[in-house]
Amino acid sequence: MLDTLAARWTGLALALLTVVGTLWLALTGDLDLYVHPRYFGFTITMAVVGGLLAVAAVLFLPGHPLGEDAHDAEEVTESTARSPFATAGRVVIVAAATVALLVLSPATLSSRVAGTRELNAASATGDAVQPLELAGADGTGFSVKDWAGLLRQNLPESFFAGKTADVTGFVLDAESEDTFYLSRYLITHCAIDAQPVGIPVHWPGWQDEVEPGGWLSISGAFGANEDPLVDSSVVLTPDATEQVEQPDDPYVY
Amino acid sequence: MSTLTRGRSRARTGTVIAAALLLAAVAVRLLSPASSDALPEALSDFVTLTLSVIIESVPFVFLGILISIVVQLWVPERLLHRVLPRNPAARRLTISVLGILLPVCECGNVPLARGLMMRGLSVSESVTFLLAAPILNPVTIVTTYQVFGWEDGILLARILGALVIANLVGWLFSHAPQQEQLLTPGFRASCAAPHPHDHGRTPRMLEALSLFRSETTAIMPALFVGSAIAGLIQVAATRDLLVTLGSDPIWSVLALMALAFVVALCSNVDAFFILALGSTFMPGSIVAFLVFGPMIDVKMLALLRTTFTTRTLVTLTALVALSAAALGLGVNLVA
Repeated sequence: MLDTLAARWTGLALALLTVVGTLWLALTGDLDLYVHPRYFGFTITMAVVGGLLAVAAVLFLPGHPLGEDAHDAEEVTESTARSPFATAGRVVIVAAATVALLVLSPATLSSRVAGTRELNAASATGDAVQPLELAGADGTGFSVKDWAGLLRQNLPESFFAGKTADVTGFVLDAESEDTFYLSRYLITHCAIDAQPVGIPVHWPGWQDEVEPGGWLSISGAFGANEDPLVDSSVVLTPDATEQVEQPDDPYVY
Repeated sequence: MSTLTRGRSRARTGTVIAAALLLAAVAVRLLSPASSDALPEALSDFVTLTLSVIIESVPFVFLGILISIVVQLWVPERLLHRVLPRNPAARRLTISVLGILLPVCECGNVPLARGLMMRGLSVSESVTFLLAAPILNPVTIVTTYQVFGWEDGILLARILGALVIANLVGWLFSHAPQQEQLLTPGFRASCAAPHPHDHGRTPRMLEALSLFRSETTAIMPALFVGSAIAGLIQVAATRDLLVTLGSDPIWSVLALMALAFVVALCSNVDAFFILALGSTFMPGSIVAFLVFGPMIDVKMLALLRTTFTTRTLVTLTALVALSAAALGLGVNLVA
């Protein structure tokens, strides 16, 4: 009984769970924690289409001969899915999906993941602002990604002289007592391709004031870097700092 | 009980089940905390990464299933036979690009290939279709272009590599003395059985819903497991390990082929998945991942086992693995 149910209905159960979870994230404004906003339209449309099909299948297939007899495709699935291990596996997958999609609250990536990825990779900062754009601007409207892209270009210190930044990001440990990176994740398609971008911030003894992963708003000016543990010619020296809540959309694009 | 009464009873039962499932899902969401920091960071990251792959992939999976259903139920099957050349090599070449007209992912291709064999296509021709169609279709090509563009020739190598490998393996299988011996006895027997739709016994919409159920049952669990493995690797693997493996021309190819075999992702979305490793691994290994994964993985082998003998699948896996590895190494040499 359970093996037949699992073999025939696991797919629809997972489809419905995913549809409800996706639409709920869209309604509450949290879908951007998982996918790039340019996919919202497609994601929501297909969730609605898939949801309608899944509901229609639940409505009309039970008891119908086609719902009971082996179909070509079902034959493919069921013949590999009726062992006790396969049944147990399918039940575990549905239970885990319920917890992950509906019980746990939506969450962004922690700063821990940044440690496993390349900071300010070329692919992440390639379309950031160009030096000419900064030359005529004060830079206060630039994002962490924009500044990170400029810093990556190894421009001379004189280029940053007098430039001020007003940026918000999370604290990323640079393994230095005097400097950390104020960072954001750059998303290209979904959270699995998140790449950290960041600005080195010179703040001696920062560990006593803030914790890695905590969100900060910092305004300050750029100056020469004298910290040998940080690979950058300039660092941001804060004039004002404020601990803030994580923004509604913590990623940059 | 009359047919009408049975139909109404069925609809009532279905309505109750559907309403109960939806209400239960919404209730669970409503009763869950709006925000919590209860999970350790690593576990929270694992869940976030896993869900991001699932939420990104599922729309493409639904689209693939929909197209598969339309092709199987509404496209005349004789149309395919009418346009196929008679020369075996030209016929296989044409079949290998059928994915452009029938753009479904690899899971949807298995029942489709079974249907094609029931309609008279040979085993070697169906194998060519199974290997080529997941890659040589517009959805996969567009998503690969979206992710990599023309960078390092990855897109071109994926398309041409799939075309060559599918035709090469199909040609080798065409030399089997008795092609039907490559199939399981059960499938050989069922080839003669008519499809219910042929006799108009079942309304097409109901058959479409049945196909949707069977396809989601085949694909969704594999997608969840594959996404969880992808999330786990992202959380557990250190950057040093990935860089060490990824910078070696040979190990990078073998490592990503093994990854493709295990994660068993849909070809429509695998380019998104591998993007995160794009800056760490060599281009040839990315190509090997993108060519080998859609052709052979744990999920596909389970599905193919319903149609082909174990010996056939071992041969098929060895041929595809060797070809994909050679392609990856070749790209690494010239990249």
